[in-house]
Amino acid sequence: MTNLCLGCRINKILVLVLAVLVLGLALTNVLALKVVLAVAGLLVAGVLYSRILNLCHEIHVLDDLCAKVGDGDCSGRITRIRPNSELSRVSDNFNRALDQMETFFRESRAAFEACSQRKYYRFCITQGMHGNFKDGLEHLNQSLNSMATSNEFMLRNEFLTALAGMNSEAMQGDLEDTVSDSQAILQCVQEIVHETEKMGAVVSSNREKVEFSKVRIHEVQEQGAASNKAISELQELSSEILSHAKGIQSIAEQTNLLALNAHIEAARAGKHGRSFAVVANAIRELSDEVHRLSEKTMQNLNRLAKQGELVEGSAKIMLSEIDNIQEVMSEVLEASTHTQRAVQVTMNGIRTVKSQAETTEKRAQWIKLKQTAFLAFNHGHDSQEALMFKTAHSGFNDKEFRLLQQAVMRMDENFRQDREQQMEILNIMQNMGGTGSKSFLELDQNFKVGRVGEHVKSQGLLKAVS
Amino acid sequence: MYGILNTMIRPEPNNQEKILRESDFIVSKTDPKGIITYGNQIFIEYSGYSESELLGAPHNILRHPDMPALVFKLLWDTIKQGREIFAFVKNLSKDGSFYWVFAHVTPSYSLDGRLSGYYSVRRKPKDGAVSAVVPIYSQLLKLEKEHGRSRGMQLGSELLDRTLSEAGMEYDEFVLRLQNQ
Repeated sequence: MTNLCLGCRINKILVLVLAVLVLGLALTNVLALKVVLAVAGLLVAGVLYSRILNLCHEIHVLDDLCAKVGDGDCSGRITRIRPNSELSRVSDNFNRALDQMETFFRESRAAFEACSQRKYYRFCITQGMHGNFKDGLEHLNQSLNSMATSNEFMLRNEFLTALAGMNSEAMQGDLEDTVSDSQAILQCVQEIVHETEKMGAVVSSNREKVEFSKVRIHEVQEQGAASNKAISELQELSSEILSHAKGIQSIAEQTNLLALNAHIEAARAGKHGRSFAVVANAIRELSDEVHRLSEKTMQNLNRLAKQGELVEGSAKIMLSEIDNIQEVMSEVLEASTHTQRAVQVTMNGIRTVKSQAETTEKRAQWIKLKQTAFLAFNHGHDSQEALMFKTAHSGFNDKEFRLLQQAVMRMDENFRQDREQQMEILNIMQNMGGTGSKSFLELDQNFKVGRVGEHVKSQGLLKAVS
Repeated sequence: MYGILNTMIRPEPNNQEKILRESDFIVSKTDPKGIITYGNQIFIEYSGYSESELLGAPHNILRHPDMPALVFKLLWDTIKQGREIFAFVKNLSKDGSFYWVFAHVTPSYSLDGRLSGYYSVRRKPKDGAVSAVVPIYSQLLKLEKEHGRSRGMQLGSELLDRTLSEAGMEYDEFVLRLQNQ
């Protein structure tokens, strides 16, 4: 019976007073005193009775509240309890317990709701909570924290998957273009190889022809030089003949002079000289004839010399022309050597390009295949697209392909939740038109701080991208 | 009846501050109209009113004249939409002193889903948080005094929006981060 409350003490005193009054009433014989004691006793009994009634009422209130709490309703409280009454401390403590309970439930509920809306800054507030309630909220905060972490991770995965999906679709188109481009390049290169080979052959054949012409021209040159020599000799010969002719002419002139003298002497001799005069006359006629013939010969020889000079001149011109032609042909030959080498280098280069283009085409084909697989499995591991792909490539058992399958399976799990969020991301991505690294980093950052919703909605991000 | 009459006389504010204890919180409940239906012992202690004075009185008997009306408009708009709200509030005691609280208000629903009232837990705010909100509140209050209540609240709301967008946060995050810094 330690630490009694004020109400209890009053009750105790009232009971004692009542007991004393009853005892007094029993012991006294004085009527007046009996009456006084009886009245006082009735008053005390009345006060006690009223207090007991109040207490009963308050106990009933408390009982009702306990029943509500038992039914899981913590919203009730005890109010208007008489100050310092028997139940005031009980009700205060009970209210305190209910405050802790109700706050606990409201905090945990609000924090989990916020977490599901990705408001990770809203965790359970433990300030003012006590004992098990405080511990409980701290534990919930740990759970919320790991939920936030895994949500972030999931969001990242979804985002990356969506990004990869979009990239894949774009890449698929790009790859198709690349493959067809590579094929076109290959065809062009093949044509170039063909034409270059033809050109090489033409260059070689031209070179042979030039070499042949060079030999022929050399022959012509030699012949020209021989003719030149012959003409020189002819000219020498004709000048010699000319000097001989001049000699003959001077002999004819002397003979004529001699014949004239002989004729004079014959005339002086008279008759005896007549026959001599005939001879002298015949000699003069002969010498005239010789003079005339040698004159004609000289004229002819002069004409011959002139012709020879002309022939010699044109032979020299011809020879110098042949020299020029030979020079030009040497240059042509040298140039054709260069051309031949260039053609060879070009051919080597083109062969390299051709083999590179073939490799590129094969590589592009391979990437295209992987992308097709990715897109097919992106629809789900058991989707129609995936099944079609598996059927089409049943013999396909590459290591990378298996890795791809595993990645796709993981992706399937991550894709189950939060369709709405996913659609939002996809819309954003499509609005962006491309996948700039800046926007990617921003989105990524927002995932980390858990403010995707607001930032996805805000036009600021789109502005940053455009 | 005496209690209600007693609470109709607004106390004259003085500059005495009471600081909430770290390990306690004030709990109160109101009906949907904001009439107090319950207050815990800490509430009775800090408000300075007795339980009988508090029960049946409107919650705004604690409203301090330094508080801008916009904060309470925001509070009521939010909880009427069924959402929780946090706010730093300067409260007025019966003896004219004041005490700052970090208030959290949530709506209560009966089992049949009808709004049955509001539940408020008020904790000790962080010192840094109070010094951060005081200049904002005094700007809001100044606008309300200069332009009248309705126009002033509109301008105040725009000011608050600007402050939040500069911080890059929504209101909830802003106040929670102030309290948890």
